[in-house]
Amino acid sequence: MKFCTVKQYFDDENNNNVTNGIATTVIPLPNKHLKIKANNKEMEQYEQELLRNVMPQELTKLILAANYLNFKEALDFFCRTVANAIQNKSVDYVRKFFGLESDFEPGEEEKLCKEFAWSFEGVDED
Amino acid sequence: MANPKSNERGGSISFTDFPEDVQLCILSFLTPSEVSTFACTSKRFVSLCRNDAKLWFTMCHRRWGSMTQIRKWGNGKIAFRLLYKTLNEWENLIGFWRRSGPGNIGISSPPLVFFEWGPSFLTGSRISPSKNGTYSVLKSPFLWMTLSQEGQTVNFLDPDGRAEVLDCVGELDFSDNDLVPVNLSFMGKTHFVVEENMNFFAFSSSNFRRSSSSSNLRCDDETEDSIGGDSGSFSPSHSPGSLPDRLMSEMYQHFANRTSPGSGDKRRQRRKEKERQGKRKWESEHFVKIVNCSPTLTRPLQGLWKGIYDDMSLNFYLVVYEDNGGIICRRVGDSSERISSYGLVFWTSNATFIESPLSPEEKYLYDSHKNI
Repeated sequence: MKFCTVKQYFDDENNNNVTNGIATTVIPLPNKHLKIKANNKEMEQYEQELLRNVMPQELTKLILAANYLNFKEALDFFCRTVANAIQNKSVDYVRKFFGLESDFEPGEEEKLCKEFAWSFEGVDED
Repeated sequence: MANPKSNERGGSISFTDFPEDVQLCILSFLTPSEVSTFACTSKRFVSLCRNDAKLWFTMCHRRWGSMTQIRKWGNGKIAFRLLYKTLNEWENLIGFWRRSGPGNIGISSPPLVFFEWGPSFLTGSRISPSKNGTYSVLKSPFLWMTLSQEGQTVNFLDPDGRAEVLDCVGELDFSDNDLVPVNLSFMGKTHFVVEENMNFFAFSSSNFRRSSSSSNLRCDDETEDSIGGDSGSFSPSHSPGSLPDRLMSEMYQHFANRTSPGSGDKRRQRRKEKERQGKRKWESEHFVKIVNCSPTLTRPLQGLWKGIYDDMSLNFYLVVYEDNGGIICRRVGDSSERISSYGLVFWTSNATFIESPLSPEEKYLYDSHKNI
């Protein structure tokens, strides 16, 4: 189960992949989950609370930690958070969000956009 | 909000820090338009966004995995991106619809139809009251919609509604002359037309050789060119042309006279039929969606009901709350082009009636029972 990897982690003391701070956030999640499982809304609120105080770099670490621990629910949750942050946003916004530079030649980007054209609906104004 | 989190907090999430599986996990929560946006941010992510086997499969699975078996569609051979597009459109069919206008002559078919998910297809079933004096109903599947392993839309119906046809949709044999290939065209979200596809056999063998629009190949590497080009086509003869005159005048008449719930706004039309060859086995039928088919807390009478009325036989009734505060109950299958006292069971302007009013209403209240 999900606790197997966690146990492994504690057993393996030379573990650099997951710092303590992250561990204290990620590991209590399953317990909390079980407690609030019945009530989705509460879980959502708990999740919002958690994330309000998290810096982007921390979120990156959380994701990597959850991935390493093979903790699927937490991984899904954090990934969904990132996805929500770029929901309905424009290309430029997403670039800034991830710190990306455009490496397209001037007509290329347009061509690509056309290719995916059927999916361009309902994008926010920045 | 102009500034993404990164500027405010002096750091940004570096997408490339994540292993590919995590990247795909993040993207799998997005809608197709958001995935496209992401693809346009930088060249190196383009192939990631085209990853059909992982990304688009996960997107399909998240949305519909609990309702149908994603991997079974098209015998597991179609592109999941195509499947997403198809299911996104067809999902609107799930639920109750009623036929508007006359059905095919010579085929007695109840006007109430219900669409639901199958493992690798969608089924439309006719719902009719069973005649045994109880509240039970008969459900006869008569319309199937699926994708062939080449990615072609395959819809067909069985005018006689024999129920046993269907475990092996993939191996259907059209030489069984009773099955009629059809096209199902949406007109807005609450109206569709089913008409015989006279060109199905002509197109089915030669269609996917066309290089420009074969959007059904599934390959994960960068040389994939199948998604490009004709973005709108996954059916044999896609051409947003104009409707034949007969159908246009039918539609105009229909919208002019209709007073029943459900909007008729045509946001898009897709017509696939070309010339008619040979004799039609089946005349087109129009269906209108029954929106609001269940009661809510504020509208406890709303929805689709089974009821036993004066003639002691089971029928279906639709109760609708009007904007002016009235409640209308109408039998499903009565002509809905005009409100006539013939068709109504009761009409009241007092939406909070407490005492038992006239006898039809009384009977209705006593005998009402929710339809499943």
